[in-house]
Amino acid sequence: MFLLKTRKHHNRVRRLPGLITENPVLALGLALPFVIAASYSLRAALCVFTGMVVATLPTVLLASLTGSRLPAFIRTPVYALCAMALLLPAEALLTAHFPVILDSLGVYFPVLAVNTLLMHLCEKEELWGHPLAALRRTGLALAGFGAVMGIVACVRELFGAGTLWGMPVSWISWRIDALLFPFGGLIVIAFLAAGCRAIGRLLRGALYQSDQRLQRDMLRDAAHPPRPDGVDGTPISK
Amino acid sequence: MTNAPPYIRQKDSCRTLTEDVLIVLFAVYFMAVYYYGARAAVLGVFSAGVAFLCDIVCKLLLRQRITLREHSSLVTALVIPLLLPASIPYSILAAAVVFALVVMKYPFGGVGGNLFNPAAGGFAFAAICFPRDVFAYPTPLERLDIFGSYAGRSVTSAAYTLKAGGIPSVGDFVEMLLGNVPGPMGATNILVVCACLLYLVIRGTVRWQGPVFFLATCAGLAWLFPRASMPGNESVMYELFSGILIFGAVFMLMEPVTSPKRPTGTMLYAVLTGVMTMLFRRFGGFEEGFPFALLLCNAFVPLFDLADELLHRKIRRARLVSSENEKAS
Amino acid sequence: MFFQRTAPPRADGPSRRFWRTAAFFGRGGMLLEQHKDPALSRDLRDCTSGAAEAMDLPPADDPGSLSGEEVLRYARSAAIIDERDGLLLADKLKQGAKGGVSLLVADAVDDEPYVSSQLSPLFKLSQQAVEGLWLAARAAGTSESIIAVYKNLYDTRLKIPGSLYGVRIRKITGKYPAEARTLFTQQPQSTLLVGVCALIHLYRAVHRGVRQTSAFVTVAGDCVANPQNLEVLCGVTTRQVLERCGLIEIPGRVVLGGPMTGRCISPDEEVPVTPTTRAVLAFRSNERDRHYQCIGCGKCVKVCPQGLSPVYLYKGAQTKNLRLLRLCDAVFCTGCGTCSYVCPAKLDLSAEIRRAAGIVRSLDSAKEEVASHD
Repeated sequence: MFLLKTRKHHNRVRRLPGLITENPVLALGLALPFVIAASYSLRAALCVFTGMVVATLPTVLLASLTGSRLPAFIRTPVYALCAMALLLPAEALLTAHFPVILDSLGVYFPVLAVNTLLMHLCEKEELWGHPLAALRRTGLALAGFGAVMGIVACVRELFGAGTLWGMPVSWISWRIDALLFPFGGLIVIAFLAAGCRAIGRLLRGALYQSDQRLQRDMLRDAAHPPRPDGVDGTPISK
Repeated sequence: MTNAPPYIRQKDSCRTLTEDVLIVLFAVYFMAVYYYGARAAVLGVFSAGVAFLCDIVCKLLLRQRITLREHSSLVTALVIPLLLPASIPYSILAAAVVFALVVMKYPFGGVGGNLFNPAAGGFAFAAICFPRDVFAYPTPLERLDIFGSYAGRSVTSAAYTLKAGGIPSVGDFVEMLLGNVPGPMGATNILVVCACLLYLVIRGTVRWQGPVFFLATCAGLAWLFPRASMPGNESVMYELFSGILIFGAVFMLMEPVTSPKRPTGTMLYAVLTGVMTMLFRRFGGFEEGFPFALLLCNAFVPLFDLADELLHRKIRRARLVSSENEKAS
Repeated sequence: MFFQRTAPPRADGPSRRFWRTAAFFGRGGMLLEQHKDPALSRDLRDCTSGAAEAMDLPPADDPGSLSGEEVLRYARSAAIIDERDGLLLADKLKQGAKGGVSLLVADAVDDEPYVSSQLSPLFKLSQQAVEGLWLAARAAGTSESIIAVYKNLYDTRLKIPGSLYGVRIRKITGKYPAEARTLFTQQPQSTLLVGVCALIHLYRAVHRGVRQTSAFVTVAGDCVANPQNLEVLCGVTTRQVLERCGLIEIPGRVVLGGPMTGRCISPDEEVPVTPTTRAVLAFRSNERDRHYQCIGCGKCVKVCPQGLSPVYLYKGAQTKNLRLLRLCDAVFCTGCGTCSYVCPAKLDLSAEIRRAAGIVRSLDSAKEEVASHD
């Protein structure tokens, strides 16, 4: 089958696992409580995202360096302790800037130390012994997480509270309070996942159609090759 | 048509089932129009129109066949206004209907696939987003504008008084039966709703075990634990006649897709819903807890069905021999 | 293992009696309108034109003195086939004699609508039927014999006497599928069900020395001008049978057998009539392409006579979920078709469940074979 453009697109997308193809929130369903609990406002989303980055990135690096050497029963507590140790200064820093938000997040900030995204990435055996690959993979996963977090937080804050980053937006006159509730967050994530899948399917369908057209043109040209014209436009006859 | 036996079928179809419910809903709408004027009818028509549009859009997105034979969306759309006051703005009604169809019904597969009752979900969405509009009722027999928002005085319903711990002063027993009290549009006409229940049970659209056990549980709990200092019988009357208990028992509790398939399961489900409703009414945030309790218990229905299957497996083994033995004789 | 096939029934202990009483509340089935009337009250027409084939044995001089084995020899040489299950009558009687049955039942239970091809010969050729029953009782070695007839509320014109030539008639009332099937098969060792038409052929074999060459069929349906019961030669095509009774219009579908469990053929096909074709029905086609989905109303569960849940069996059949099929006992399905009949969504429940049950059965038997080899 002729799949030139499809293959090119697929190869491009395949190189960014975690951002588009294996998005931790939309495709794997990891770290959902954090997305739901913290995306009621953009500022809270930023706090949790910062905490997630601070907790996950160094811990996965640690895991990639020591994963194969530690026995199974001690690996998870070690990662959790490491993440906790990293979260303490992060929390102190964020409380200085956003005290109210950290207060209202309650338990959802400290629990970042044992979030499923962290555990999933730490237990990936293909990353053990390859710290650079681990960094790249974690960066992409965190970018995917952050993207989803950002979109959901924007939607929920804009249409739920009528503000963006705490500043009221003038062109929203109606509000849907249900979006600020956790079930509203779940519904937004569900529709976002469905929407991304639909977009991906449409894109792949369009690429496939253009590939078919290209193949048809190529076959037609191969069957009836255009003859080279003479200088004044008349075909050269043998 | 099919090429598999049987080649004769009963005359009832999905269409006649939903048409039965529509007939009965028209009777309730008639009473609502009597009390609240033409606005009630226009709300119903508007809701039906919004549901029709949502239907078409969702079926196109899901690549399902668009037919005019399936009226289940219409039933949902006509039930939702009856849960809301007659003074509700059209935009809130539209939001509730859109939520009910686009979020509660079609993402789960459309007709026959929904896990939760869409009408209850739509009402819950409206109640959470716009509690002031959803729980402020006009007085019955007051003239309302057909279009435009309500400018008169809204009163609270008996359910609100009960929640606050008082005894409702809405009139005597007969007034509450006939529906001359402020409340949700369709839910105050107790007599008409009970007649509808009788019709649906006789026609076989609704299993009788559901509403009877549900109302019995609610009545029993109301008799044992009155919310204000009043005798048991009065408490039962106020609890059952205020809010949407009886209406919900008829039109929302026994929705075919979300209710258990066997009578034994239905009984358990009805009792559980009754208990949860009374708990939500006493300890919940809103004055009407029935839709939330219903959504919660809808999640337990597959469990009841599984329990039923296991129970009936035992009964079958005791009663029958396997069909292989039957073939031999 | 949790999901094994059912074991054979054990003796009645106290716990089993409890569950059996509990099962009383779940009797399923559906009261069907019978539509038997013009066909049943008309005379039984003989369309064999007197063609009779002699068999090896001569007609008996004194049928009353024949022994069981001699009757069996007549039955075998006449090649009589029981119209209900397609088995040789001789085999059934022999197995009955070996197994020691105590009750022989002449089966005239026509519980499907339109079909009366057992009732009509029973009442129009009663003497032949009853004498055939006595002969069969001798062959099977049973002491007691009765006739079983089905009559429900819709058959007001059918008058069933209490006994026929001294043989008691047991009236079975109630819903389709007739309870007789279930009641009699609960003691499979002591009851033998034999079709009435086979008994008539047995009488003819013994008294006239002819083998079975004809079959009794009911011709009925919307498109038939003169619905009636006929005795036709085996091998006559369905088109000839329908033309004999006259067609008002071209039928949309022709059904061989009862409308609930029969086989559908197209109107142009010419299928020969066999002894087990009990009816040829011609219906108008009301081609309505309705595409409803299951709405979970639970009517199929209410009417299933075996107490199954067709809604979950159908789901399991569609999604090929073996675990669900085994949990809900797909192998118990008898194919009566009541669930499809009541389904408001007009789904093909019965056909799909039968197919799935067949797959489960073959998988189970394959597993047993493998286990028995090891």
